[in-house]
Amino acid sequence: MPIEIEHLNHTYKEGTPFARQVLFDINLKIDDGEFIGLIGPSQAGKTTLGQYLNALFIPRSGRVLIDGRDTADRKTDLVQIRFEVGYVFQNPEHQLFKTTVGEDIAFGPTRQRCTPEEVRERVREAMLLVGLDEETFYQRDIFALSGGQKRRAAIAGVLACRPRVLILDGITAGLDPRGRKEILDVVERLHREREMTVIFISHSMDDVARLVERIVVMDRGRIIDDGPAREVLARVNRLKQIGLEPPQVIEIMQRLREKGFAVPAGILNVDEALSEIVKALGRPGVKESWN
Amino acid sequence: MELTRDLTLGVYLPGKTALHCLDPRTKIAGASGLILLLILTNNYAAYASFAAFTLVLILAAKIPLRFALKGLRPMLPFLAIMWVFQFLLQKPPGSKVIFSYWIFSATDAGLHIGTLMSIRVLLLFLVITILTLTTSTVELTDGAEALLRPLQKIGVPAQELALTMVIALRFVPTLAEEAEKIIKAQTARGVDFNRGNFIRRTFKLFPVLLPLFINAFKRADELITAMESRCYTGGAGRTKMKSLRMGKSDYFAWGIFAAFTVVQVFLMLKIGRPY
Repeated sequence: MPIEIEHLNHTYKEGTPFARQVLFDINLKIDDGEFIGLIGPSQAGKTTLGQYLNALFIPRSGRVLIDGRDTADRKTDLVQIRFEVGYVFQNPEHQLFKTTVGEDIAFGPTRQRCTPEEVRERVREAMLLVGLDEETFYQRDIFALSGGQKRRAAIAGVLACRPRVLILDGITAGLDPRGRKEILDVVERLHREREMTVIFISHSMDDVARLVERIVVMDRGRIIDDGPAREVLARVNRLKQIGLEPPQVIEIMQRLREKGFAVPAGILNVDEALSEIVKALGRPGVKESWN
Repeated sequence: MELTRDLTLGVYLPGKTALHCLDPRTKIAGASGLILLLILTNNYAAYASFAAFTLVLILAAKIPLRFALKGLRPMLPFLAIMWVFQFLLQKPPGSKVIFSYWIFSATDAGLHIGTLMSIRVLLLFLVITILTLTTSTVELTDGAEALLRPLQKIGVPAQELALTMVIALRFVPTLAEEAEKIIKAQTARGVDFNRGNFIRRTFKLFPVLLPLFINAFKRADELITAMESRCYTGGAGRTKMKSLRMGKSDYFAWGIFAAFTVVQVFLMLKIGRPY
């Protein structure tokens, strides 16, 4: 289900004294099964762009084609598009409203007019995917969940609609390292096992470096870089210029190189970095895994 | 989908016009006076003259007219319902019945009452909008507090009342923004808020109102903590960084208000109600 964006502009509060343009001539093509990191500092327009991808915003200037369907076309079934392109918002409290976890996850499939058995099946599947144990959590009160669990319940609520594309907007913000890792593992599994197209919106470069294959960088409403993750991340100075912290691994490897250690450029994850450092130090036998 | 785009109530539009620069006490008292006049107004001519005066205020404050009028749009459905009720249920003695059925009876007086009331509500909304568009939150609190202070002697908690009012106004845009986010999150799960009949649409509000209320309570709780951690203990003994002072333009504004009141009262008495 490819998504194409052509010459998209967006102005908030158009026609009022508070009008502010936040997207400028955006062109973007997303293919099936891609794992994209959409990064940029706050106010870059990431969330606004993301909301065009599942027809929460309808273009007034420019075009958005989802699987060939123009979202501005009156004949396009927008509800159907929103089921196919799932969107998980940063704050799970904006989504969760039922009493129990199970009921809330069932909300989407119920809207899709699934049979009760089908709904039950989808809830079970979604809970399994995000790693919420059904026995323990199905009847659990939403308000008794921790921050990380709420995020996972919110993701499950979207997954239960069986989307083919998943947009995750800042879902690691405000989580402790463990909750963060749990969520990222879920996302990785979804992409790998379900072959879902995933668009991961974040300003944490560490999250993005660990996961994605392609990175799109935005700044002040424009796409300023787009390419394979390794290449984009290697342009460290450019990222620093717009106020993004490059991943710690990249930072460390760069400094090691500056100090004269023979480590290669373009290392993105901790395991790779570890084995390269061990190699450079010429000391075999150090534990070769880290987690 | 942007709820906040059409929101004009509780929004401050910074500017340097004469209206912006008036003492907040003048503006609050003036707005209250205008509202009192509105409630007393009983005929179309007086409302027309009031609308003209409101228009002058909007132009003087350099508020884009379209922006000010847009804020009225969300109220139209409510007004329509109210209008129908007034039309069908009001039956003052001596009125002419146009038709009647069961408990409903449409009268000429009902028609007038409904129409006058709708105009009144729209103008009332405009007056309050002009006040908040030209007065910042800080000025509003200071003004309201100063006006209520004489009542403190008889046990009215002026400072607390002013603060409550300001917090309420301050959070209108915040809550609208939040509602927008919630609506989006639920739309992403397949709720189509623009489809279905009246009853269906009402039921669709549950997934929005529940998170909105819960978050509002949370926000209130956080606000209390934030205030207490900065040693807020109520109004006693607090001083102001900017003290309020009435100037020439304020006396001029009072003059205009007095003249306008005379005109309105004259119109009300001279013409009288149309039914």
